[in-house]
Amino acid sequence: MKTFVRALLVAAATIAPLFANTAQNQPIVLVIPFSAGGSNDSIGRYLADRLSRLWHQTVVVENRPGAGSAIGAAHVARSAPDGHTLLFVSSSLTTMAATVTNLPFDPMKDLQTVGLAAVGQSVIVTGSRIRMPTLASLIEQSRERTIFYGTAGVGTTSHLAAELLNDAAGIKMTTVHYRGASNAMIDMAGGRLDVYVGAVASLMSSIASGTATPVAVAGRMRDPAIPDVPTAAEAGFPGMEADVWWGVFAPAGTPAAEVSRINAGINAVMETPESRALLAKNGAVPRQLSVEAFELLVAADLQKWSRLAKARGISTN
Amino acid sequence: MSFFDHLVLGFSTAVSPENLAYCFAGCALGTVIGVLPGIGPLATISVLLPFTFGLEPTTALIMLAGIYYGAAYGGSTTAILVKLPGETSSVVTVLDGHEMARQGRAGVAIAAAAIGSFVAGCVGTLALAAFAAPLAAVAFRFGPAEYSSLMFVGLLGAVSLSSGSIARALGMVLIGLILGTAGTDLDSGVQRFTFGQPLLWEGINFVIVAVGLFAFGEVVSGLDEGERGEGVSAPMGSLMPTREDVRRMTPSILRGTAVGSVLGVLPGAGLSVSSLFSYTLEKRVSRFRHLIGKGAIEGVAGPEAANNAAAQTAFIPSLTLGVPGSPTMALMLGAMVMHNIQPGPQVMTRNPDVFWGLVASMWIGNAILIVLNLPLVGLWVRLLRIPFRALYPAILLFCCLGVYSLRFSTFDVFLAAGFGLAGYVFRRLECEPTPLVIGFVLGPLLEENFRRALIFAEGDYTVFVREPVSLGLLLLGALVAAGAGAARSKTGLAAAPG
Repeated sequence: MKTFVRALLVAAATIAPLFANTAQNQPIVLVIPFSAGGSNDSIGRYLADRLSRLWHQTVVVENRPGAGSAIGAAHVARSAPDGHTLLFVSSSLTTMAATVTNLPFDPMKDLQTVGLAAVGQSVIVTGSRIRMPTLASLIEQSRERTIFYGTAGVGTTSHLAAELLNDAAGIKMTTVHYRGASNAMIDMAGGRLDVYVGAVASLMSSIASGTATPVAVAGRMRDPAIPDVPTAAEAGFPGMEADVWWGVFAPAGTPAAEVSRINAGINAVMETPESRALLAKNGAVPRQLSVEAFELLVAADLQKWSRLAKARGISTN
Repeated sequence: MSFFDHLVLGFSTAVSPENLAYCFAGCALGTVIGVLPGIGPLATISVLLPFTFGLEPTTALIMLAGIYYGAAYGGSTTAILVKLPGETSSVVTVLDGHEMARQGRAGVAIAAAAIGSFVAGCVGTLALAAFAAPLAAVAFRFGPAEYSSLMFVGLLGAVSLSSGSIARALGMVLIGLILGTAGTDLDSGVQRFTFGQPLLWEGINFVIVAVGLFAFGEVVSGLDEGERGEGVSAPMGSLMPTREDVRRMTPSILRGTAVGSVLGVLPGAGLSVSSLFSYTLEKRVSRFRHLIGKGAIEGVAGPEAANNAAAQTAFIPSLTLGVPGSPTMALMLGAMVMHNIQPGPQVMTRNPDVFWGLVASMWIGNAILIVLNLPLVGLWVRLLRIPFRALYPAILLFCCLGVYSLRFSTFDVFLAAGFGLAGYVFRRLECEPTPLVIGFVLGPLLEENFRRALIFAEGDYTVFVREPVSLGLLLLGALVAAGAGAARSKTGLAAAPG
């Protein structure tokens, strides 16, 4: 028994180094509220890696998936606002805020915008049953028979963007929900699904293989990955924009100096040829915004989606 | 270029020292994570993905693919030894595999699983190489109506495959169905059975249910039954299958391979049901079907062959059409895109060295796995000899770590503990947990596809019998149910006093 107690004490003493964490060498935790894998995770991990090299400080990625991105976001919202816990999330944060009624945190009040890492565009693609790959043809057919559009789930960007199209074109396409874009593409390949509005990144392999035909870019400019595809505005439907973005947030109350420092860091590491190359593979481009400009972007997005969700009655309870 | 030339190209690519080394590393790593509960191939592949950027695309994909099916091998090892299914496809292996372990034939069971998987892997790779494009085209004709009928047949199979009373199996399947509804409903966004807890918004993770019902439940009931402090009670038999065993395994392996190769091509659901269908088939068709459920080698070799064949053919829709059938496949596709390879029909013509190199490495990977695993059988089996008072805490510890690693949440661990308690109660009531788990996995798939089929059919219920494949599957289901009923009345008559 005595030996056991002695052994236990020695073992207990080995945790001493834990208390050596001073502010300088405490690692920064970047919470990614998605499971490992996928474009959200790879962009986030890349950012973490580059930031840690820039600041000579450990930046650790913690995947906390669940409830869309709510679990991870709520965790960050509750964390100490000292700049050591950050959230890396996509624009799904705003679509979630617009449609989920019982979120365990308030995205506007509990989180502070820090910086934008990248933006990507969405594209409207159609399946084999749509006669011609134009927006006009799609709309014409929607008046003749039931057109089915797929989503990656209730309240996701693909859902809200397609409803935006319904709104802008004055048509009524029928919703078919899937667990993610890949599952929607399976039905598109099978000739059952007609329309999907999704990020260029997630649709590139389907476009390349001919499963999905791009019809219009739901954004301000043509996309370099699919340069021959007109924007929705060019096709006659301005206001049909559904950009996706990836950004970093901190708990509300984080000191402004910390926020600016991190913002500068993000802007510095994401505007390099290497970052551009990685983002291009994910159908995204870097964009540098100040803290305030990013805040305005997030607020504008939230307003757009909230208005649409309320008008169309889209919510999860 | 003829098929033979393609294979030569593939093997010459795959057999380079670098590729072989990475294949070996991937398989070894995959086996280890397959054995550990919680962390699975998906998480491992994604964490290792950035490290592969410095490698050649073919090398990177070979390693990642090695992890992928190494995990399948590892999952069946824990299913046999400690009754913990590593993933959905090993759930069925638990039934006869663990029985065999109890009878001292753990080594034979693991070897049977390895051999079955190897044979199936070879055939599956051949199917991928030879029939990729036509198989893929067929796969996409499988729509939601067909999927929901397939799931329905799977559920009927789950009820019929249990050796105990039908009423209990049916009850367990129903409980599994109810548990499967927990989470946010896909079509309406309504939250079901979440009790206001955001951690339940995406439903209950399979790992939590499997670890709780099987591992924790097993530990608790083992303690209750007061096992002796020693390991498995039966004396340890030979580690390798006898000639008799091999003779019995062969037809099951062949049947399992056929079932798995076909089902694996169906994106999404094929993998989950392949081992289940194989088990049900064995129960109907095997010469030793009366022994299945009590430790018959057919019940291990067949399903394991099916799930490995399915794992290989699952690459078909991903590689040829760029449409992944599962999250892990999606990640592999992402890896290909990262390395500037566009998956799709052109991948065979534009990057033949990658495609055929990958195909060849699959065969090599299977070979490596069997070389790795067969000698390790002795080591695994020795684990069973550890006295329970050391083995049980170790199992509990690894399982808790595994569950916690899912999302760094203690809620998940407590939920698994709750399932452990339920698992103990079920054992006392003589209810097998396997039908529950199958209901839990297939139920949501059935619901999703059923409702989607109705959306596409605009409310017309006859779509399930109008479509020929769907009708065929439903008739098959009727046969399965009738067969189960007949078998039971036969044994009932035999058992009734004269």
